[in-house]
Amino acid sequence: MEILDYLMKELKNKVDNAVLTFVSGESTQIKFANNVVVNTSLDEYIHIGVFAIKDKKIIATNLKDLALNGSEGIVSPQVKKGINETAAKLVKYFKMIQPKEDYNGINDKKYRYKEVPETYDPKIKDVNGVDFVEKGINAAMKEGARRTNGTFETHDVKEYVLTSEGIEYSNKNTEIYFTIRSFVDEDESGHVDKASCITKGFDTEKIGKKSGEIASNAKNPVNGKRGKYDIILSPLSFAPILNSIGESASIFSVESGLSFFTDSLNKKIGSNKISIYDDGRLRNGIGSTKVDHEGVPTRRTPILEKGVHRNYLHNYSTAKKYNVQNAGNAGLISPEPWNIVVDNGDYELDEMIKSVKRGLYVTNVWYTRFSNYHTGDFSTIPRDGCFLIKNGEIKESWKGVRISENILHILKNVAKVGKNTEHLRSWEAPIPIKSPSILIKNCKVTVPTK
Amino acid sequence: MYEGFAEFALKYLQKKEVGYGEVRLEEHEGSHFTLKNSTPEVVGFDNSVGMALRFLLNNSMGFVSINKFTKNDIKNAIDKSIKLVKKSQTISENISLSEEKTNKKTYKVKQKLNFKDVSPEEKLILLKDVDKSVNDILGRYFSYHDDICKKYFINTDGTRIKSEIPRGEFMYFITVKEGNKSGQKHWQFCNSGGYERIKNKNIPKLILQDVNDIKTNLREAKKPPKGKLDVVLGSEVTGIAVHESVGHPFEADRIFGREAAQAGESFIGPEMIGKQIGSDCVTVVDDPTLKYSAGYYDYDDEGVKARRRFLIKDGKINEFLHNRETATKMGLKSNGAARAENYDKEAIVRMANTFLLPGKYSEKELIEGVKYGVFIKDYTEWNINDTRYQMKYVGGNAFLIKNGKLSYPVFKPALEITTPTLWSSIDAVGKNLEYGTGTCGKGDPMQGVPAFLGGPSVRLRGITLS
Repeated sequence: MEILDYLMKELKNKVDNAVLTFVSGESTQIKFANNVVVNTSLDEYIHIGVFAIKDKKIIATNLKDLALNGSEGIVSPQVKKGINETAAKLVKYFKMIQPKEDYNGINDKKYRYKEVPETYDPKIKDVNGVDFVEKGINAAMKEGARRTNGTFETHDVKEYVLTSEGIEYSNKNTEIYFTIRSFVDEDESGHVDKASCITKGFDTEKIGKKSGEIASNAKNPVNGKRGKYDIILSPLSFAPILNSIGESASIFSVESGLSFFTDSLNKKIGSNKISIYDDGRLRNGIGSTKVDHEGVPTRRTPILEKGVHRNYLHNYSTAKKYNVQNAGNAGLISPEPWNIVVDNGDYELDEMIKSVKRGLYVTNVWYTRFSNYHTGDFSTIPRDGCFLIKNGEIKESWKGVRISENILHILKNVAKVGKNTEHLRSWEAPIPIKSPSILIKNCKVTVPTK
Repeated sequence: MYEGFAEFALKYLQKKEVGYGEVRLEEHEGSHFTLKNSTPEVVGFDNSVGMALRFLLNNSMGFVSINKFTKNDIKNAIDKSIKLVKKSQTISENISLSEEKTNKKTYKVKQKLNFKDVSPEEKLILLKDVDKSVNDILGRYFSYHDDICKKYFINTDGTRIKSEIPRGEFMYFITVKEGNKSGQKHWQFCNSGGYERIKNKNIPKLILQDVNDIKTNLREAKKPPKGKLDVVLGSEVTGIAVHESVGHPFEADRIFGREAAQAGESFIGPEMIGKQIGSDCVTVVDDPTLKYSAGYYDYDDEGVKARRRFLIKDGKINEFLHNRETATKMGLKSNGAARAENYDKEAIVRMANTFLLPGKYSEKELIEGVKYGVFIKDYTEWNINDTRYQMKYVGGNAFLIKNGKLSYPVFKPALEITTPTLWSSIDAVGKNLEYGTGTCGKGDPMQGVPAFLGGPSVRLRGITLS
């Protein structure tokens, strides 16, 4: 791309390494509340990112005035002026800042990249969002919902990357997303999120129906009671915990004190039944990408295999620092996960419920917060359908409870893993996950004292 | 230069015969620095500019954000957006906006020390000095960020607001180990104004105090007591409780269900104005006009003049936070609570600086009035359900109170309580009003905006800790 070539030429003698990124995209969102559309949004953007290193000093910035050229990426006199100003500012900053001593460069190896299947769908532009929204709302209402709220979104993103090591690639991704929360009455609600990279098979009717079903089943909720319970977490309610696991697996989090994966490599920290991966090549994966942000092909990396902590997530520089293989998780500043995937198990949800003597089936959680990331102590609040299970049967709908637990306790006490996985991202959990339902033994549930 | 594009966009909207149209142009310039365990991680300077366009077409709402500044790109985006809105009209809400005074104003927050005149070297030294004061602890993650935000807001009613608000922000996240135990603390400071606001804060002293408090607690703390007791909350805890359990449920868009899918609803209904929800000594306000505050503005992102809002007055629900859309639903005028994170987000109902008004007692007097209880000075983990009815605050630095005096430290006392119980249990309010900083999250897509969460210490009677 002309802009990136020109920019790289200008930076050539001023930096040791650089990664330049040109991203253009279009997103739409239809937001509905109380069964009607309340806003229709369109977001059109381009971003030009500069990541530059000189004598181990690292600067991240962007180019603003290139936007004056529209989305074509052409070098006009105005663009040249903007590039020259940015280059001059970089030189000034490099003189005044200090080096990151443990920095080890960016990837310099050229690879051949293999596209990840089903991550781009040109049909996304032709989608009639209103039709999808209406189908979702109507299906929820048929199940007994009185009001529904949510959003329908489409995203179409193209990215061009050029590095100082001569690596050049482009990427394109699409996403179609629907979230719907149905209410029968106050405290009687059901919430379902679904995302896909392709339009084929994306069925908002099915999503709306499920949301309505949960809301109907959640009728007449009573205040829950404190105690120890076996808890079945649906994929949506397991997602925030998986997000924390994904974030904690990044070596950057470990070094920052934001991880419970401390001194745990190759140690058994979880149940045999749980295996968790980061997968950059997940077919139809919202977070999938053939290549990371410095030109290394992505792959499937075990984080936890049968309860044993196998890997931290690295970029080129951190992999070199710790003398481990780079699995393509750059993140130029900090390594990051792409899709967090849990290996499915053998159980249908019904079988899991039948196996529980005294427990809860939690369909969604909200406001997950840690009192200590280092130890993994946290709490989260079940919302929407939360059901008491007694002797293998759902007995009543609950409200007003909180799971006050520890992530390592959760991992150690995984007793059953479901058969059917769901792929989603949510408001609470922005890192895409693919997971079945999980049964965790002996979890602490607390309630407000009044 | 960009203002011409904003004018062009508004004229184009008018040509398309929208019932109402507005353009919010935002330009940001700033820098950021991060230090992790004494090592500079990344330094950056940020520039961005873009426009948010909002319009009503036959009473259906459309929103466009764009950072491509050519007339063709702007025209194409508006045309595309109008098509999308027309398609959705069969199932759209019939939206109207409250009639508001037309405002024409230019205002600016002055910087004694302009962020642009302070060298990157000096900003990095600020972080290094904080690091030096506590460099024997396990984990040290510090960040500095400054931003000068210029806005140009115009609408078809004739309002024209030009503003410039600079903000500086400092954040620390520390991990302290004592023996085999560890403790953590996150702290954030944001002011509007220039570099002088951060420079004068003496952060090395504050962080050292926090480290010492955590160490003492890890070394000496015992389990929190059981049974009914009294609790004194320090101003940090009052601030977060005010924000979560008063500010959020008083946002009128939540009350009307607009944010129900994600950010949630409110246990409060429009019919509850005048209802007693706390003790007589409880008065909570939200005030964007507070000088130097994190959430400062004079005119909101709909061009409405900002003012102090009395959310709870003498324990009674008094008023909600409104934008023009929610105000008209209650037959009111907007009280200027519309805010957006940036040009690529719609302005929704937000808090600015929410705090409990001070009372007449010193913190010492509040503690002296307790025979048996716990003083929770600050907090670590917290959360609240999405209707903002039941919440939890886990104490960080906390002590047992015996016969009006602080005794030994207690480990992680958890106040898990409902909103009406919390505010009705207060029998005395301190005079030590302090403001903490938070980044308030709401909306879909998520938007984070800077806000003050404030209050003095308060005393609660007859509480059971969980």
